[in-house]
Amino acid sequence: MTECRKTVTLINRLGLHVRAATQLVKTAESFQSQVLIDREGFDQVNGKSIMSVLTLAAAKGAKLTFTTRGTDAEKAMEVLVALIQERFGEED
Amino acid sequence: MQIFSGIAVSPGIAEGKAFVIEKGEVNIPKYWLHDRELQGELQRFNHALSLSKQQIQRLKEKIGGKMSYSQGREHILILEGHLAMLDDVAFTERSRNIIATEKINAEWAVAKTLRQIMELFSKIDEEYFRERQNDIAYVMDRVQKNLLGKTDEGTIKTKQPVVVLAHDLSPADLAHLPRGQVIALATEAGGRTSHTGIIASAMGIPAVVGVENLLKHARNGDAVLINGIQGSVILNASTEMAREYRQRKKVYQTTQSHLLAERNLPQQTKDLKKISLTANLELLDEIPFIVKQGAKAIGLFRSEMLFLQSDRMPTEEEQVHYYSEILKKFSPHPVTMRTYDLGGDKLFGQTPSEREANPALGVRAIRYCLQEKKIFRTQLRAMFRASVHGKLRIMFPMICDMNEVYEAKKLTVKICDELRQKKIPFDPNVHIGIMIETPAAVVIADRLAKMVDFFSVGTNDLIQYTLAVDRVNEQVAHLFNPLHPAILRMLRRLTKTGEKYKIPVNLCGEMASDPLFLPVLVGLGFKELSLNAVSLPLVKHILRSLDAKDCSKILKKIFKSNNADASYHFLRKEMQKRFPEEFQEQEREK
Repeated sequence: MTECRKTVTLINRLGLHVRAATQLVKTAESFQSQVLIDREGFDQVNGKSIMSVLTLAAAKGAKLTFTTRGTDAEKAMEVLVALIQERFGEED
Repeated sequence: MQIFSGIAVSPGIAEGKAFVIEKGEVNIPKYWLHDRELQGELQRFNHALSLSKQQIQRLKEKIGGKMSYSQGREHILILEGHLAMLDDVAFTERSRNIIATEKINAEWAVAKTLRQIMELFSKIDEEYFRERQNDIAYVMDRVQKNLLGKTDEGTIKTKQPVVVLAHDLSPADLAHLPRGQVIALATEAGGRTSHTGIIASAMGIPAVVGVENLLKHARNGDAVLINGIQGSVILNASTEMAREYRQRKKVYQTTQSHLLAERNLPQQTKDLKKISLTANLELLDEIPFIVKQGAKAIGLFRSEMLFLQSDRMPTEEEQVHYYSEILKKFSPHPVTMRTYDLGGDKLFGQTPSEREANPALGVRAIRYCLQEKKIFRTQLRAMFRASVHGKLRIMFPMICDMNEVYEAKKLTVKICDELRQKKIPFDPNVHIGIMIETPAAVVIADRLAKMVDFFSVGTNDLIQYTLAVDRVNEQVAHLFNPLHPAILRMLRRLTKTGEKYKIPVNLCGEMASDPLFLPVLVGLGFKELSLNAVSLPLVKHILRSLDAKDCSKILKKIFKSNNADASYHFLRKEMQKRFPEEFQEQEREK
């Protein structure tokens, strides 16, 4: 069982709005590992639950700490971080 | 009798019984289960979930096939979010858990889950995220209805024609309205460009949106009158009022059929002075309605509106696609596209970097475009690439200064050179014009005229900037008068400048949509007016009954007046004399 932890800043224009959150959750679900997201001032949420992710109210500039736990934890972290850094495919 | 007012989004007058669609309100049965019933209940829940998913999936396909790309795409993204919510363990697992541990029925469990989730969301400060409660409620409401065996299709079951009253009509609600039975729509939510209006226009029924507190007072079966011209909704009207409405409806229907019969007649005065009446355009879905109203050309396409609902900047390819569609629809007649009038609070999903104390005087329109050159370039390139599909005219908004015109034109020349080099076809004869909507532009109109192919006068902003009046501010709104001597002198100066430099001077403000001002505009010598498609048939009818010489006489008198209010009343009286039916009707309304 591997565990990874990384903090990333949202750089896409709208942050984790419905479209981005949907993508994030779908991506997280494609891995066996658990995906947890922390944001300062908020309760930790399950990264595979869209409603929970939305409650983070994470706009552009928000810092999120991801924890992935499981056999494919490293790969999951890599893909999730890339998704955020590629601004969820939004064109800026 | 209760009278409500809202925004008229689809014209017409209707009278009928109210059919109220309550906001996600389903009566939820609550009961306890035996242990042996639990397994079945969980299956019932699972079944409702998969039914809900299938329905949304179908809706997605329906929208994808029916609506135009831009609108459809937004809906599809929303629906994908809804699908993800139906899969969300925070909802599914929690509900299953409640069923199993509390031994209660699925409807009750879903309601409990919803309440827990809502509580979390209501604590959120940011409006966008807090508002997502609506999406969640919408999704759960669908699950509830499926548990109860109620489907969307069965929402409206009635033999009588009904007026549908709702808080808001979702794309699903609208898609399922039984054609022929619904004779009008009114909603509490929604604005001028809401879907409700577009679909109602397409169905040919009146609609009023933005009617506050409507559902608080409306009950199923109430008698409702809807006026989709003025934007009013009347519940349980007095017999007198109802009679008046029936009268009004008759007048509207006869004029409408008269007016539409005039659709293909030339746009000219009685003494054969040609005035071209073109339409304003915001969304692609409006085009069939605009054509039906008799418009041959577009005098003002507000290019930013097409993409404003989107959360990102449209790509060049997307823009080429839309602009081509529009040009093709009206070819060989011209389409005048205004480049982005963005800035202030109107941005593509961006948050303004700095909130301006006074956006009307800040970075907007051409200023924004010249600052954000990349965005501007992309739009202009897309417009030129689309230009091969019809007759394109481009105009720049909010011009104050010759340098702005110079910079913008320089960019168009550069873009044309690039296209030529890359052998991408475009129309080299695209007319480039500017909007005259600041006093500065009026004062230097003679110089600007040498730089462009046409002027288009935006009276809304011109009046606001000249008279220093914010139309939305109730305290000063009454001072907003197009007949103010300063405005009339400016307009005359502009048409004279146009004659001298041989460029067309068009007008595209709201002044053009109000038939009252028509004699003034004809007298001033405007050759092209761009107006709301809703007003077009009436304005055309009045135009065809006016005499240009008579218009000049009226205008002369108004020019002599020192008092804008007096001019307004004078003009009203003159028009009432000539068109007793059309103008009395409005007077009674006020």
